[in-house]
Amino acid sequence: MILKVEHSTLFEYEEPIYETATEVRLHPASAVGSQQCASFNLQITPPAAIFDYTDYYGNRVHHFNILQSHKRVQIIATSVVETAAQPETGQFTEDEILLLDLLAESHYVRFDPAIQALAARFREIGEPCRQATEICRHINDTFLYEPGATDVHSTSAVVMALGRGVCQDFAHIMLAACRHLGLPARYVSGYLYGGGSTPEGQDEASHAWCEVWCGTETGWTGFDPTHKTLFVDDRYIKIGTGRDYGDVPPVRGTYKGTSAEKLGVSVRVSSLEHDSDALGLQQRNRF
Amino acid sequence: MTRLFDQYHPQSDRFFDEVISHESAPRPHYGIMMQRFNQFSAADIRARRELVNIFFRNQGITFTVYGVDEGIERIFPFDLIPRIIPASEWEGIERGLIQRITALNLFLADLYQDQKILRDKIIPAELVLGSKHFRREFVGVRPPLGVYIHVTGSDLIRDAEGRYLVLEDNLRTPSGVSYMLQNRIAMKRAFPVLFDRYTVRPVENYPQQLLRTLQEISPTPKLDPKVVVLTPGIYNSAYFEHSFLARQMGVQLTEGRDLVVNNNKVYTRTTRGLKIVDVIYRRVDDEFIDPLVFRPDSVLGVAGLINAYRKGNVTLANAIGTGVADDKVIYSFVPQIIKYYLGEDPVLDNVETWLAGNPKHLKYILENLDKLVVKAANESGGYGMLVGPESTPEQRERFAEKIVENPRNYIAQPTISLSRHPSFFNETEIAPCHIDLRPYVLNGKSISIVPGGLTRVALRRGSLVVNSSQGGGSKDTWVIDN
Repeated sequence: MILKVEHSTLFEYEEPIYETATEVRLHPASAVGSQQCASFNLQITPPAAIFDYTDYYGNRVHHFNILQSHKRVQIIATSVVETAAQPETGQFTEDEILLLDLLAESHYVRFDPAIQALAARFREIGEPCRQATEICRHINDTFLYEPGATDVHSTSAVVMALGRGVCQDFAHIMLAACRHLGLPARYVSGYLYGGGSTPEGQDEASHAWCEVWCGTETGWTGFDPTHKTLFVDDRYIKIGTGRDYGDVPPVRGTYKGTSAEKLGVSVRVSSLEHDSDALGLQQRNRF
Repeated sequence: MTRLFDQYHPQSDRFFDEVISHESAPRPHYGIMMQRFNQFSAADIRARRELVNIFFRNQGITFTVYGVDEGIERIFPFDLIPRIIPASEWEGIERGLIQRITALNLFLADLYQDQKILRDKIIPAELVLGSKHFRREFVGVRPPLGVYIHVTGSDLIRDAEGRYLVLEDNLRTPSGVSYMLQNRIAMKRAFPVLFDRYTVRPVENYPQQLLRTLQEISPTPKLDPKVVVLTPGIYNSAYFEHSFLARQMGVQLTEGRDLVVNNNKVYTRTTRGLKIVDVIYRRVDDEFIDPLVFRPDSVLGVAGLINAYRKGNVTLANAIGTGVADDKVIYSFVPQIIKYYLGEDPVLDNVETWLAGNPKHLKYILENLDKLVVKAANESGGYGMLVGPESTPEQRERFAEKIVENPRNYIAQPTISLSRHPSFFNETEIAPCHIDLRPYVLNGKSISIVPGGLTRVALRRGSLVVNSSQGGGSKDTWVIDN
């Protein structure tokens, strides 16, 4: 599919603030797996010089700062991404140290007794991909999707105790179970093109899921414990990966000033399949 | 009149005495010192003690003790009897430290670039990945000259035979060098005659050497790179040292709020506007140094600093993430690290170390808690530590629980036979007190070591803990030409 993402983040303050410093991880991954990023545009208001680098997990990070006082900061990221319905095939390789890194506990992914008990139920299944699938199904079946039950700081242990949460929480649970069973697994930050028909009736929006290393035959395989479809397909747009949410927050920043922050986020994912822009893109791709 | 050293009988099989040999003879390099102290009356000693106390008080040389409610600001206890190291002995220490720092620097460069040592399975990758001081944020950043550790304060001890061993490497923000400098001034004032009888190698130019090292690592070659000291502020236990070193180097002492990053460059706020900063001698820990990248709640740091560093617009000393190499678990691999990068055997040995993360070692540790010293892998300053022989069964039980809960975080060592040195345990009497040695190593275009360093002494009788935060004091340390 050819999908366009418009992701707007607006910070507003009652009183002027100053010395904003912000990092964003909003650039869709490109030339990884079955996804190509055709274009990316980042617009900052008030205007600021934008710098970028690639982080430890290979994610593109953009950053900027604003010295002068201001009462609002708007970040608009617009990207066009082409996703493939069929996953890549062939032999896969991955850095052994990265795989080890993705086997351990991390800030949000904890091996508490509850997750150990959950994981134990799937230990007998030998094959990694099936193991991951069953864990994913189990989480989807037994955990309740409930916005507001958790917050951005909730660890997998907290979510285990609550039995409910949102996509980020479900991903952390799945990561904990997989890693505890010895399956390297990573957190994915991205978007889901809902087309208005997602099972839970959500809007298309920022999303989070997992990738599990299923060996050299299948490589990284995407699983989405939040949706009944379980598997990741061409409706999913990947931004980046890390050990957990903490490695790939879409926006993080600091500012000076006394005023509290009001945050507004809107994400729109649309299909360009029959759009002239898209045709242009396909033509560009051909050359 | 009884002479001071007449009452000094340090004979012990367990401990090396710095001054008196196992055969009860004074070691030759201490002869003049003993003679001189033997001439002093109790009144002479008191007078000199008073002179030294006034000096330290006037200098405001204090440190902060954490975890006590009142009077946390203390004068660092100073012992009047100098420690003397002959040049021949010092030469070995120097060679050993240069080798060690060279290897540890190569180790850090490798960990933050290609990680070959992990791929070659010399060190289990899990240990590095699991170290709380391994900074993924710093992987791929290339600091100027390839130097990560610019200032080191390794702690050396001597075993029962007098062999120097490395107890720990302090590769983050080692402190104490200001005491070394002040001790020398105090000693010269209180004992001018004694000082002149020896040819003591000078330590006074340390601040200038530090400044030169910092200028050498400027991201762009400049005639006069702008260097600043970054301190966490007046509540930090080493604030005195931060301000002292800044003053001695003639550079600005800054706190996080005095600096600002704009467009990936670091500036200091001055009365004439923003002025660019090239090198930051930072005494703020990694975790607090940039709220954009590390702890977002830190008010001690500078937002955007790491990105400016990554871009090569500023240099930090020490670099980010050096703590992974002084992690006490990684410490146990330093001999292999030296062998791997330099193909040499270590000049200075480690203290024997058991890793609680290793099941076999763990069993040994738990069975021998009353004999061992157990330390948390990532703590410093004598915190998070159990000294087995001095502990109660309840303390050991509590500690055992902590170890079992998080084995990766603990190591154990034999109750170390720190060497002993005559020291005043009250106004007029001396006794053998345990000491260690912290030499200061500077690393820029080349490695240099101040002759001597800070000798810390456990002034509580029988105590093995020399940390200033735990009731330790210090001595002037003389490296003398033979």
